[in-house]
Amino acid sequence: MVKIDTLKEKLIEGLSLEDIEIDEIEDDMPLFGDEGLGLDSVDAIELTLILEKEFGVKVTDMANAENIFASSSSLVNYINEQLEN
Amino acid sequence: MRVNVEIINHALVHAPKTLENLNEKELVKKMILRRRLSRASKILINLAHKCEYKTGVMVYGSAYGELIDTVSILESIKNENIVSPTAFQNSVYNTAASYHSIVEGNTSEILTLSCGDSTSYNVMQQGALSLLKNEEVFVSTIEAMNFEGVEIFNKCGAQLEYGIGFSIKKTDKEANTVVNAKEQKGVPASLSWMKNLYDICESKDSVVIEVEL
Amino acid sequence: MKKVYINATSIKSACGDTGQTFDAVFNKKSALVRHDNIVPQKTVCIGKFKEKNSFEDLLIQSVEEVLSKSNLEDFSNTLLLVGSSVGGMATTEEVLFRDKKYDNIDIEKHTIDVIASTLDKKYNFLNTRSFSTACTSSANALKVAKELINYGAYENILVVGADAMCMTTVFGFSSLGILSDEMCTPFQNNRKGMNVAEGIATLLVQNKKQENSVELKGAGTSSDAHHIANPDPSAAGAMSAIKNALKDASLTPDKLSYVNAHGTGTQANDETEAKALEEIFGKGIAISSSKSNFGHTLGAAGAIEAAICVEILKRQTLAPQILTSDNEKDLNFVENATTAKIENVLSNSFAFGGNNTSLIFGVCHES
Repeated sequence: MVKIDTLKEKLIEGLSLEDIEIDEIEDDMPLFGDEGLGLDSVDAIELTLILEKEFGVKVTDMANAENIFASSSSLVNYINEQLEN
Repeated sequence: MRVNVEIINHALVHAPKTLENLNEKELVKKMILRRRLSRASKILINLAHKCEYKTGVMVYGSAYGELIDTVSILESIKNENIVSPTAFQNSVYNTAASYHSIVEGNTSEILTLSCGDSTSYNVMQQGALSLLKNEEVFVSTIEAMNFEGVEIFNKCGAQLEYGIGFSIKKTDKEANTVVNAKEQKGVPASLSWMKNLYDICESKDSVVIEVEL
Repeated sequence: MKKVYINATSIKSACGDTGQTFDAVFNKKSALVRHDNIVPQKTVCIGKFKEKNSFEDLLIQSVEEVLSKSNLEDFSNTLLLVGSSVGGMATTEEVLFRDKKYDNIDIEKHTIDVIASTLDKKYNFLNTRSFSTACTSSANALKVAKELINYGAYENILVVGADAMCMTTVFGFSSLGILSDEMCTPFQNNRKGMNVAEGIATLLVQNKKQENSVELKGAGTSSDAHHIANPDPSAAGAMSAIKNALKDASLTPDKLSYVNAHGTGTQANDETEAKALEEIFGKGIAISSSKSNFGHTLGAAGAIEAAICVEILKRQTLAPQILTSDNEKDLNFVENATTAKIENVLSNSFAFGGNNTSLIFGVCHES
């Protein structure tokens, strides 16, 4: 089981986010778009690489990427679902 | 054909390994953009700010380009690891000039040159040409070479981060100085000409040079 | 302002030499090849030279060809302007991947300048200058050549666009998810991406008209100021470059008969470019992209595609695009080579960093 804080730590590290603490990224905060954290399409690709490298999870359902990557909680849920199977 | 160029502002930054006071947190407030900036990008934003230049034609030069990202990509390929898309998009020679334009909302013409040892002189030549159609131009040359293994290549002991910039305008005034490309210790060869011009700017109030197009 | 003439051109592409490239373009042939053994677990479709000569040899061949077609004895009174995005990267990669260490890499052979210095050693130009703005590199070199001739600073300028095949760009574009596993299909609705390719083009730009001259009438540029790799979807930057070129050429959109599109085959570029073209020209203007024929030659694209525009004007024949069955925005893509009265053509190049450059070429009328 991957903890949401571990995921956030890897996001901060892997996406070179600066001056941001784990608890500043709210669980349901949108990761993409200007309303949330502000990640872009290149970050989406980097995220798939982070998932593979840090958690051994391959994102196969790219059509559903927008939902999987919507927030930290949706992302950690996806990771844990994949790890269970 | 010659153009007389007056130097409005000049700026220089350098460090043996890594520049500390580039002030990027102040100059680029949006973290999500700032975190992507390459070393050369931060240096260019700093130089342009010092010269009070935001939008308008920019001519940028670098003999070696984005070496840190280039090496990162080569290492990934060599070690059969996945190449980072961020590193790739940041590896083009015009990266620094492009990020400056994104930060400042600069939609004007931006040119990037890479001409080996004569880079800084060629950048000024291009700047002079741009002045024929534009009031003011910003010219700069930057080398950001602090990557792992650089010692193999740095035989002449150049400082690893070096950047010089000038805001310039066309003038009818007579040239009052001549600049040469004499190499100075610690200065990357590609920046020699601009370093000599910078030294003159530090010692004179008004600097007007004649630039051959 | 002095007028600017393109008086000789040469091309090296995946399709072959100058004549072979023109033949491929006008007859809808593609030289792009799929490879399974380059990027692990992926198929990539790229454009490599057929010829086994070294890149340096092909560079010199291209320049020799232009010299032989020109009115010049040599290049001692010629400025060399080079546009390249990778410079000597292929050499660096060869040494690094062979030796697995950096010790034997010659940094002077790595940089952009290696192309100009190689050519300068052989031809002794008046001077050399190299531009590196990713995919607009040689388009920008042509723009600068035009301005220098306009102002009478030079009589002869040789513009060389050159980019060799590199693992850096193949892996790089693949990592961005925009390198297609098959021949690119520019502006088609279900397009999958671009094809990295190598290419060389040489153009002699002069201030004197000759019998077969084509005029370089306009050049315009702009910056998106939007994103380091994605084009501004509003197409403002692309439109600005095109409008600046029209203004520079003192032409209105209706005076142009054809657009050589940047048309890489990526979702983002083609959508943005189609938007810009429709906004400025409406749905009627003939458009095609030659990137399905020989791929995206990156820094060399501006120069190679300029040479194709010159040929279009000489032949008074619109160049077709290989696939035109499902066009973005229903624009007018050229299905087959068509003779037509072609006065002026536009060539677009759009690059990483949001750099946009548009060039306008036209028939010379004065004698």
